[in-house]
Amino acid sequence: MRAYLKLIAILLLPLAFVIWYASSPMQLPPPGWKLGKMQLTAPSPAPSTEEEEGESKTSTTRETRETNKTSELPHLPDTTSHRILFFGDSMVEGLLRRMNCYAFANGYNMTNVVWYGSTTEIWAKTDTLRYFIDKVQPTFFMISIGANEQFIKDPAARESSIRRILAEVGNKPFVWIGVPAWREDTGINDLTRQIVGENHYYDSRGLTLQRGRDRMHPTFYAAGLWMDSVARWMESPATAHPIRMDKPTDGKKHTYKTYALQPLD
Amino acid sequence: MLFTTIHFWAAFIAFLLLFALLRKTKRELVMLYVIAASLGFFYLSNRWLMLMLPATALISWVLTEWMSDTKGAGRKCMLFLIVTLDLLPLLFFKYSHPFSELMSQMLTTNISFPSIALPIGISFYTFQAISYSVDVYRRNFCTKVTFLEYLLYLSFFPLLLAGPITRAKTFFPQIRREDVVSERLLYMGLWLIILGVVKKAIVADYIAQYNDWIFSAPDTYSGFECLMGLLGFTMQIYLDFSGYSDISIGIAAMLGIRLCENFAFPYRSRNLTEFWHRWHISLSTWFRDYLYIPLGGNRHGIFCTCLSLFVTMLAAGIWHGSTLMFFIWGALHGLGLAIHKAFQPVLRDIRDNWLTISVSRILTLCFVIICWAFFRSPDLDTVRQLFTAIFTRMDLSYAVPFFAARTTWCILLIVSILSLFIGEKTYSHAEAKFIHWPWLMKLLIFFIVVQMVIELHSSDIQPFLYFRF
Repeated sequence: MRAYLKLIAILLLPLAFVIWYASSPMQLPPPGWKLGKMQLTAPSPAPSTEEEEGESKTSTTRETRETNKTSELPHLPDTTSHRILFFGDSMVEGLLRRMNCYAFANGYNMTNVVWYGSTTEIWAKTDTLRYFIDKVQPTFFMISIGANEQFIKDPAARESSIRRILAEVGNKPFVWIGVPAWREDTGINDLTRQIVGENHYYDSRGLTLQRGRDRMHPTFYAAGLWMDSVARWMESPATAHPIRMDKPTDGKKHTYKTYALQPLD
Repeated sequence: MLFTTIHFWAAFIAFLLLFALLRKTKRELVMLYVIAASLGFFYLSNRWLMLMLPATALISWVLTEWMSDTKGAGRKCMLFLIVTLDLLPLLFFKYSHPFSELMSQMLTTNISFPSIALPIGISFYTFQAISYSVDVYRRNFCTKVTFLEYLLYLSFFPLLLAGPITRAKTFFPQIRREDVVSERLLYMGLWLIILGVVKKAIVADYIAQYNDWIFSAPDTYSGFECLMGLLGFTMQIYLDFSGYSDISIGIAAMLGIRLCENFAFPYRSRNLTEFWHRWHISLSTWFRDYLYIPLGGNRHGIFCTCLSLFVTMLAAGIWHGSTLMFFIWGALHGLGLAIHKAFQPVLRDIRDNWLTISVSRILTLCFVIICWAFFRSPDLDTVRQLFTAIFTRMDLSYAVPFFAARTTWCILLIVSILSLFIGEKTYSHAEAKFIHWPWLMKLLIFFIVVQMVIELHSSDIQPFLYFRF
């Protein structure tokens, strides 16, 4: 019995400590390092566009049956001529060059908004996004924010900001392009993926990209390859709303309206 | 409920406390307690499908008891009936949907069974039930077993979800033993749990995140990244499953049951036959004893031996899943084993030296890695994309930025590969040292491991790879 009690103490004490530490606001900082906390709750994913639309509709039995029938069909990409609003931080600058070529090849109208040094918090707290939505009336959104929040201490605090941005996007189809991390982040990528949902989130962490002089932003060539990967995913059934993304073949540059916003401070 | 979740450990500590108190009371009471906890654990994984387990146990035990008293041809018929009844639920849950899909495609009808979720652990308790009945039939196990003991054997929660498949002759003598559980066995259990948690929750789960990206869209990555993903998966599946087995064997040791090891450094094998003697030992010996030997084994010449090997491995592949990819994986291993068997007289003449040993180890590992690509990929197109990337888009200049971007991943992979070179004696020595360390030291080590799991945890808890089989 004594041996069992000693064993139970070994099992119990560390677990009791991590549970207590996770639920207390206290931080234990050993020199040069912060002691990680166990996550007691996980953020719930945002409802998908299709679910939101489904809830707002009062469909008849026939409509429901037709919807079921449609869901059995192969997931074909949407070929509508979309008005795309592509907004985010400086990472958008690299992506938009290649994305403009995709837009031209597939008949989309692009509006790009690059806000240097921006974060999810800044986009959520200002009315900039509302302004561009009213101006462009987009039918599809592309978002790439998070590069400036990769190493923040408490990424969970950005949950409300991400939800606020999604609320502005409303029930329009969207994709969120994750940060191509040059070092391991503190959790912003995982948090965003969990909130926006797997089929809205392109996880760029798997890509190895050649970096520019600042060792953070991909070179324009590498950003083009990054956009090619994103494009392949955007028309695949892995996304919530696949759209046509035929690869541009003309090899020319195409330009669309682009707004460059300076950092707030 | 997974072995690596905080909920499981909280429940297990409470269970262990009461178990320690009950140990000195009646044996039947202890067994009832463990059975109740095991069924509760099984209920959390499978809800009311859990009832299938006691039902299977009852039918299998009654018929096996009846068979053990029967002689002549009736005995064989009884065994056939028992094995069929044991296998029916497994076949239904695992293959009814894919079979009906295949039939409806062939007959161009739209009749199909609905897709049913496979109850977790059904394969493993079914295999244990079959092994018990066959061992009784062959008179390899002659001890009379009560229903309570048999139900404990099938439902024992450390083995329930993904094995190791334990034989009757290993299990029953241990639950009948009256002696006290030694402190050494308890701390050996703790050592195995720590080892398993490090393998599974720290290393395998961490490297799994990158491997998942690669296998979801290999054509969007360079050859170097795809190769890293394939190497990563090779280590992930080993660490995941051997880590699970270590935790499982460790928990059983804490309850006074010492189980056989399930992995014995498989990536050090010098040929495919040796690999299957070291990989998932409980399953490969099960297939050897209950399929390969009844098929004829090596008793009817080289051609029949090769054919039996091929059929056995094909069955092992199909057991993993009813998809074409598992079929190919099984067929490749079957073919590899058959070729090794056929050329064994020639290979035996080759002298052992460091060069031949190294070459044979590398060749075996390469073959196993290629087979893992089929095992992990959802379809043939993914395998094609993966190997096209590796053989046509290989650029070693990716190595430096890759290491810079994924330093922890690379370090974990390198350390796990290097750990394969540590001798078996060193492991045993480390285990013995740990057992004799002071209590406070063990507490400190366990605390460090728990904290490392928190520091390196991925956003989602990865299920054990073998749960879906």
